[in-house]
Amino acid sequence: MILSLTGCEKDDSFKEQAGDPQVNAIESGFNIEYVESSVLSKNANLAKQLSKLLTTPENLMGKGGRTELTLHTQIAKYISTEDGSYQSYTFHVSNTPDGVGLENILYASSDGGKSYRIYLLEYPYTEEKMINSFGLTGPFDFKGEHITYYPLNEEAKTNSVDCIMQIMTQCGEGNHNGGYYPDGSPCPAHEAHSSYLDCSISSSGGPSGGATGPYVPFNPSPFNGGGTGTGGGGNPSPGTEATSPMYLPMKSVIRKLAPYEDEAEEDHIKQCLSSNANMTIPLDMFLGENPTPEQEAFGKEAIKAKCENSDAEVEFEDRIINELVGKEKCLDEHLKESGNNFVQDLLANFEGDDSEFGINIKSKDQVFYTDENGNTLEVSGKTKFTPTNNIIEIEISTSKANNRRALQVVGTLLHEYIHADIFRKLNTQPPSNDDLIFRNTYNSFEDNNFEPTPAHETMASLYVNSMKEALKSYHMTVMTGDYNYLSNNGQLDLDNFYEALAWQGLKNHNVEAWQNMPQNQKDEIDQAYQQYIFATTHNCPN
Amino acid sequence: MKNCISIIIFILFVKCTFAQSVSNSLFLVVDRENDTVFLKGKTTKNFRYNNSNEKMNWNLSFYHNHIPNSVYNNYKYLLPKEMIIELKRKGNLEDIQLFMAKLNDFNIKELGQFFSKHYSYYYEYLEKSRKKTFKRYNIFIVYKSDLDKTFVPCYEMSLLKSRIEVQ
Ligand SMILES: [Zn+2]
Ligand SMILES: [Zn+2]
Repeated sequence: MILSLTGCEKDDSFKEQAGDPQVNAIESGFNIEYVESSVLSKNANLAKQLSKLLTTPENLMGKGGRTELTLHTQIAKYISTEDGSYQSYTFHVSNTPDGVGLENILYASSDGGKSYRIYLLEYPYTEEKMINSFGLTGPFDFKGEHITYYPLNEEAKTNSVDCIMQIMTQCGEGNHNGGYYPDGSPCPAHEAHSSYLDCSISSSGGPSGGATGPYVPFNPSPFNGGGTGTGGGGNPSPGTEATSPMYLPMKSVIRKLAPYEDEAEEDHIKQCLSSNANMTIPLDMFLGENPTPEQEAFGKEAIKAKCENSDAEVEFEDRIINELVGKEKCLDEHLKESGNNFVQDLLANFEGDDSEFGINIKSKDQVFYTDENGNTLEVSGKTKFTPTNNIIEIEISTSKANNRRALQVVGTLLHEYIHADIFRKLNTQPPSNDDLIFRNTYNSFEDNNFEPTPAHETMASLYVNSMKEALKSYHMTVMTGDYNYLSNNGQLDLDNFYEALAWQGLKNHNVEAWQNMPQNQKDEIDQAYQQYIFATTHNCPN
Repeated sequence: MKNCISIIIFILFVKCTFAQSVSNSLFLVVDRENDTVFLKGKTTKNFRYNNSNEKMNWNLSFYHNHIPNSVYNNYKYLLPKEMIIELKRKGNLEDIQLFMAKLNDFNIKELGQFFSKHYSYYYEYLEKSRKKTFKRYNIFIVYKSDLDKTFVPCYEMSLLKSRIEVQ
């Protein structure tokens, strides 16, 4: 899928550039688009080169003192000439050293993609500084500053080039600079163009004199040593690359999340993003071109969570922010590996552009609940909906988790995820047929009592069997040693024990499904619980 | 002249359909300068108003949905301004925050009973020639900015209560 181009913004700023000798005409037709990884992977040669770079990070290391860089291949800026001779992909990198500007990895080919020259480029400003200095829409004027570039698959040499502002536009009338043709006449399709600001570098025989070196305009044709050194003078370079620093993920995210409550919120978001650069691209991809209000709310929440807690993990696809720690985090992670897909299937319902609700699951030292009569009690887990951001918040008590058996904690996690699922089924609009059937069940437990709640009644009548199967699967596949011990290597049937675990937090509320169960069955379940619970482990398996 | 007649017919129609429900209906005025309304999805037709009561452990959501071809669609009425003035005089129209403040001391049970008793009815519809029902409420949201229009849009709201769940 090709993402659409950035909109036509700030036309007035282009006009000011007209006639500026440093703004250079673009002579050859070119295309600029954003491409996603699914498209990139179809370019076998590039994919091979990328994986080489990723698997042999020493190629990347040692350049300008880099020790760790993260290359983001989810999205690239793709520039190609109309005749296909020149093409380049620009990728964002993060984990750059402190004090270093925005960096990109550039793959440039002048033989139609048969071979690529690879560069690490460093721009004079960090993205944050660009936004603070020039605003979200630019223009980003680096005049007099330098780009430093490090060739990665050639003999190492470091060079700086003048970074001269160049605005390239692309519209139905062809490509030209600043919204104007080289002769200064305005583009007839002026409203329809997109703007790009790029610097150009020379890959070899490049500028020697730093700030005074020759400027080589973007001109894809003269790769073979010919070329026009218009404007800057000096020797034409044999290898001119079109670089494209302006995939600015932070800028993109900030634009998509607007408007903000106030300036303080916007500043806070910027600050959080710049200290958590690795989340920016996944977030930008999640938001897409036209985010729903729910996606925006989840995005803001994810950013704030990450800012307050750098250990927070965000799964944008599943719409879940995970801030669990310690034992409960470990047990929760294993839920995904369990042979039974109960939790994955449940969470999958929170995916997709139409999804309205996100989940934030977090650990708290202790979790309290104050009932309607003002009595406060300590609980193992708590689920509530926070309407301001459409997030279902789940709190898991760390102190309770530490004192309880691993399977009891897994039971609590399942129980709270099911609360989230119930909430989603009741609230999703429009309801699916399954949701409607579900609502009938829920509504049959009138909300006329404090205990049991209709949610617990519904859980007891519709979910106990799934919980039992999920606990059994978890025990067998994740806690194999404990399972073998407890079941005498599979010889004992533990079904009543798993069912008993599923009933925790329900039967004590005296739900109908429990009341209606024959006494001998209830006794068997209670006995199985007493028999096995103290023999099962406290620990999360490694 | 033709216009005039159609407006009169419209008023008569509205008066008839509202004749029995107006006494137990509630029109809540939302001032979008001060009250937060959450738009839903990519359309601006659907929205939600929320009120959380931390002390009593409940959250109340009013939502308005219009989804093509759904029987669960909420109504949107266009009431003549004169009728809105009349509703206000009778005490059926008030600011949403003032109304919500009256619910502060309700527990979830009382909250449910309050809305059921005063504003609910069972709506009947046919599905594959079988008669079905669901519960609806005579509760409408009106935007303050619309109050001076000749015809004021009134959005029927569905009701959703949720509470803090613990284990
Ligand atoms: Zn143009
Ligand atoms: Zn519960």
